Amino acid sequence: MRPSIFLCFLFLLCIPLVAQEKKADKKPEKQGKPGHFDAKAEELYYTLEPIDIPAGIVLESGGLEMLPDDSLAVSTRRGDIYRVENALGKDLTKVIFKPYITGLHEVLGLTFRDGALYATQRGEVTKLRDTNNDGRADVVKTLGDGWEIDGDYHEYAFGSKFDKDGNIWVTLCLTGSFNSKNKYRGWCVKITPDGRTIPTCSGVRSPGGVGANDKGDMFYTDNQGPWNGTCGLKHLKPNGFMGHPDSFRWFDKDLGEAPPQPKSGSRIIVEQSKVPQLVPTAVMFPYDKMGKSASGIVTDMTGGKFGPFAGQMFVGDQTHSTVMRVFLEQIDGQYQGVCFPFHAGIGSGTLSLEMAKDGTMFAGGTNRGWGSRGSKPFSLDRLRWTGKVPFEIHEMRAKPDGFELTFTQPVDKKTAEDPKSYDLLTYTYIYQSSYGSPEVDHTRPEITAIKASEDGRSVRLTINGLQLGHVHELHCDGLKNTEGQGLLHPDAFYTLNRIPK
Amino acid sequence: MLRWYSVVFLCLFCASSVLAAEPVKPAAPKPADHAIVSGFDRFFAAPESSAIEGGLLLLGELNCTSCHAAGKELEPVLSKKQAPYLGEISHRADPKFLAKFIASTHTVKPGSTMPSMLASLPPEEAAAKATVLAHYLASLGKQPFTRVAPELTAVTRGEALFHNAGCVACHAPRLERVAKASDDEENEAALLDLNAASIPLSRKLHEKYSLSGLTTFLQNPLVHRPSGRMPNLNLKPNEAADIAQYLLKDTVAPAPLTMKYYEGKWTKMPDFSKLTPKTTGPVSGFSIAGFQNRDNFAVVFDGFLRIEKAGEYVFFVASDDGAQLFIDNQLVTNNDGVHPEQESKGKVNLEPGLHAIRVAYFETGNDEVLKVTWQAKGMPRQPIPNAVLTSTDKPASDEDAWKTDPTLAKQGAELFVSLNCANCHHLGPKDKNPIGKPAKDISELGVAWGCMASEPETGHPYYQLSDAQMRSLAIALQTIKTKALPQRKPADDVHLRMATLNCYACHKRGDVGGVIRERDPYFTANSPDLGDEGRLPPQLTGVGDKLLPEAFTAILTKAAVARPYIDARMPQFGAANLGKLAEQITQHDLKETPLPKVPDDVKKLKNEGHKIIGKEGLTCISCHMFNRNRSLGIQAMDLTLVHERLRPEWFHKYMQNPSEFRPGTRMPQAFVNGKSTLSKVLDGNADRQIQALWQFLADGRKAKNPVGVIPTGMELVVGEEALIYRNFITGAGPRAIGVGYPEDVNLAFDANHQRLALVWQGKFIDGAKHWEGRGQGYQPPLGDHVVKLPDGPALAVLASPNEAWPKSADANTKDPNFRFHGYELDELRRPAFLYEMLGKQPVMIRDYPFGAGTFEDRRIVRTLTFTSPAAIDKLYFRIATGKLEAEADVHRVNGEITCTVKGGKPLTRGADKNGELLLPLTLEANKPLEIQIEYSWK
Repeated sequence: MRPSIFLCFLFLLCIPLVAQEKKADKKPEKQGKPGHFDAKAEELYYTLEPIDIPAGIVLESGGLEMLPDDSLAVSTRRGDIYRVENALGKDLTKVIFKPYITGLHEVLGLTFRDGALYATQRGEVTKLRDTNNDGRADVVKTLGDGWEIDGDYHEYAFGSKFDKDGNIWVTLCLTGSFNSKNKYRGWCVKITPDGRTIPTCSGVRSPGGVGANDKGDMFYTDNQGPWNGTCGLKHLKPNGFMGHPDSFRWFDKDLGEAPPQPKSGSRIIVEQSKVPQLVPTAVMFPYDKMGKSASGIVTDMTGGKFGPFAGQMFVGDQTHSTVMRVFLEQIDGQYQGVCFPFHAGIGSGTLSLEMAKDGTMFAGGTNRGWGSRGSKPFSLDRLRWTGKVPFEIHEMRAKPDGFELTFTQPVDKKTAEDPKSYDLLTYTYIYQSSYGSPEVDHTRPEITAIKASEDGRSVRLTINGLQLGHVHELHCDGLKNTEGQGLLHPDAFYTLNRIPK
Repeated sequence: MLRWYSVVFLCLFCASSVLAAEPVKPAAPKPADHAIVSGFDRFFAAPESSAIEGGLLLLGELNCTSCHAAGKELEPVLSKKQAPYLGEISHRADPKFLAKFIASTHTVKPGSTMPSMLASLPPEEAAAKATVLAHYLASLGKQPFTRVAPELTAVTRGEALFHNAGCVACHAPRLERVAKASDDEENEAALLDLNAASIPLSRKLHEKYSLSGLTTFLQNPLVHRPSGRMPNLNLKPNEAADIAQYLLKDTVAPAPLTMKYYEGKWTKMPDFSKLTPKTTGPVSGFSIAGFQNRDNFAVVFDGFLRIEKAGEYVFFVASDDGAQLFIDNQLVTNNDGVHPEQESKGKVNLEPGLHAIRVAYFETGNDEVLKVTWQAKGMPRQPIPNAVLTSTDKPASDEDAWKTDPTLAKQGAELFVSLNCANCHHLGPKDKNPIGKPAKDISELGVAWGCMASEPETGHPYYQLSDAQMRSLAIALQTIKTKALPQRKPADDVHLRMATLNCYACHKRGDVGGVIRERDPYFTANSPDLGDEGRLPPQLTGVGDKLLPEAFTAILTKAAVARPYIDARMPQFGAANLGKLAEQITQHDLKETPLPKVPDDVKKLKNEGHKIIGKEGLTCISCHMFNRNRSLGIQAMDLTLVHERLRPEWFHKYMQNPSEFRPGTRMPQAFVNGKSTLSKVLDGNADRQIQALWQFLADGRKAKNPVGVIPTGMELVVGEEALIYRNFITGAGPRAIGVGYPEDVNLAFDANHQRLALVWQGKFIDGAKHWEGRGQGYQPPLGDHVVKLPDGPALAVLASPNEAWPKSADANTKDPNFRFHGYELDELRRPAFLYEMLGKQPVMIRDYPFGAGTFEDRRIVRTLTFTSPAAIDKLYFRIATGKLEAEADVHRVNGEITCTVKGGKPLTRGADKNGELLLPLTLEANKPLEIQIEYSWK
């Protein structure tokens, strides 16, 4: 009789759990609020200027690269590359578009080195040179093509800029964005200077951009879908697994054994303990709250020419036609960090980003096939700092018992230390093989102590109930600077995968 | 017995309409004086026409065989007109109307083919029995009968549809359009009075029908009237509703809303409780149409909204200037203030029942706009229909309301059987009603009494028949009795069936039928520049020789029409009612005319057909649409439909003399006496050119657009430089590199397998597939004379000349023995492809093709340079595969293309279609070897 008693006991235990879960199923909690972009207010600090695109040019920009002569190379989804001259000048009416080459295959990545422009096409990384100096490329040399395509439109290839060793990192979208039908779909491969293709990371799903941070470590954006509860920024840690296991089929004797299969319906942070290669998403972009389609990446390496955010990363969102700001830190060698709203109003759907040495950011847009808030079919915008420092959260760092916020301007101590100035919520997403995930596991941790620094440049929040693996959604609506101004963007979304000791 | 009461009624009817003619109303239409059977009246009423055929037609149309059994031999001839199903009649028809109609059928509906079963009774007794029957019919359905006030915009749309969609091919029009003068002025006959000669359709239809009932009926009449005499016009639900709104435009029902009109100057919504309205009154809908071009006024609409399903409802108000919407006195959405057209919305949860709705609107100056719409789960956004609005929440007065009396209904059920109503009327398709009194077999019928007596006789149905109808029936019955029916031919059956179904109202076949002069102005086209061919249904002479059987059936049963420009719809009569019409027509019409033999193979014919049809040929596409692309001129029938509709033999005959087959067609004659007006193609031979057209069109929608079609795509037009297109190209793999050359030749290189995959002439490629939307799929070449070159590797080391050529890798994976290195562009942007055969002794290949030759003799010249660090022999380059023919050093491949090789001596191996043209190469270390291959279509 023992087993049945045991079963009964189990059954009794299950009842309240099941009931609770059902309740949760019925009405998924909708909590928190979106990151607040305000193009008009943002204009005071960063001006967004559309660059007129001449009639006849369809500039669905997939790649941007500043060239040594200060012209901007723009590659398009139709496979053309233009050199845009005078794009850094004061007078945008002087901008000239010059065709560099036509007829390539959907170029989603450009980088320049030693007189040659390197384009990541759908099927290969190509070295382009203009040997007769007539302004147009005449040598179209295949550098590396160690992956396959089959006519599925979703098999995109996004190429990075050169890394410090001269490699180009190419993230390869899954076939139909769901499976790895052809070789190295769902991988990030490195194309070495001598043209070898080195599979580097598995688990990619549907990338939207790839780029390095200020330390030269490579990141990419992946999009909500199977095994991706929401869009996110992921660190392409060599030999790491980015989350989607369909890419495992290409592990062989050279690449070694595939990681263990993750369990669907779990949480990333739970699976990381069982799948050591799994690299948790460094920054999750909460779906709808921050965007719906994460895209291009650029890091501010201008040392202040773009304002107070030197070394930080900027990430586009195609659907929302925005640019987000990202601050990353490493805890025990693993990247994690926070995203903030930065600038809305890109003409079309933000896809490619680039920053010139003088601190001019360029954003290329397209909404063909995927709709965007920006209503133009394609666009090229530039964003420049006006010299006026916005009142913003500069950095947000995890601490063993809370967070530390730093600011671009001294805060008003009274509001900064008032708990009513803050609203903190946490949640995460289901790590599952089916498409996307709602926000789940909501908690409301308690802010037990707040201490502003003497100089007002930082605030320390002591928190009871930090949640591992959760987005910590913090709104600082009540916080003021010493002039009584509120934050330009009071919203921060920190992905807490590790808590420092 | 004299039908005195009907005469009185008629007089009264005429008198009242004359008296009511205030201020100006058209004279009351003249009613029909006998049972209207269109096919009989048009073709069999004249004394010289066949009385037997006319009688057979009437036996079916008057439903005689429902009571009188017909013998087996008559069955295929008689097409019985199954009476309407009555199971749901109470939803469609007002029981009060039914009582009147049953009591005095022919006065209430002059021209009806329904016989009266009560005509012999005194009026009071007839009325009493009819009322009992009405109670029975009212007790049958589930949905009650309700009246709804008409909506004016729908009425306007319905009026246009009613007069253009084909309703007035059988029914009398209500808008007068002037018939054009007769061609034969001398013998001009008086115009027919369509009111008296059309299938009856009461102008007081609102007395009978409910809006929802008539709408449902019009969407597919066959569900309710299986006879198909009222055919299905394939109306969309909104079209059926619009026509119903029009036919019921005089419905008297409580106004949906009341309106108060104010004048004054405001910048925000005023407090109406402090204002006095200038006018008030009932209105139909939230419309300010009556106040156009006014300034400084306000309107408040009040009414009640009938909600059936509890739930959340979203209300939208778009206005210029301010407007507000209230439900149950609560503000739901506020669009107040002076502004250009802008929209606001609000949500409210509503329980079933009536809810007060108010829309307040004001206007200061300039444009006036007010649009009120709503939306709920399962209900797309739409204007609020009058059906759910009422200006009063008081129930309708009890006196007028119909209440079904169960006792009377029960009596009615019995009467329905005993009066023989049940012999004709079933309640639904599965219902087999009991037969009432048994009647004589059709072959035993007399002709001067019973149903055919000149006065109604008790216990017999009374038809209102004309003298000609009486005469025909009598002769037919007499002939049946004496078994003297003449032998029938298919043509007789076809004619009888087409007359029965009134096909002739629209179609002419031989000299018979067609649109009559009086109805001609109601046949319209949505594209007037197509002339009569664009508005009149096609004539059917020889149609059985023209249409493929499947196409014929599809037209009759699936409304598969090829002439979308004709406003009149092709009705569907129901397969059961068509009998063997299509087969009989085909049997009669089909002529054995063999196609001429032509010397050209299909591929060549297709290529030439592509040329003939386009701008460089006969420019068929200057009038005809092609694959939904607009033509250059009038939008005549889409040519990609030709092959699925027409018999090839007919097409061949037709092309030689279109007006012989379609008198009056605007289609020009391009082929005269076996010669084409286009002399350059296929020797100007008409047979060959027509066959080329047929073969080209046989590809249907897959056929590529002829030159000159205004493409919906994005053609890449090659200019003075070569143009490159790297994408998924059909036949050249996912890493294809298409190149268009200024010399009007093109090629596609397969960068996965390092081979020249395709060459073609003419247009380069259409980028639309990859440049619109997300870009899924493979794009075939846009031009013509597409030649596929061998699959698999182009270069191999063979141990002996007999060794089999290595197999091809999968199209989606690279050939592991090769590596693609890219290309170099020359001064005309022509690529020289660079690739490598891997191995211990690698070979570098530079493959440099370009366009050459004259336009008539276009060529591709391909220069290949092979280099290896080591000496290699036994290396072979495979130029072509297939059926090979050689003439000196010119090798013809598959009859499509020739290859001429310089710098080497090719060898051929394999027989018939398995031929291979191989070029042996011997390489010295580090010494480039150059060869040249010239491809020509000559």
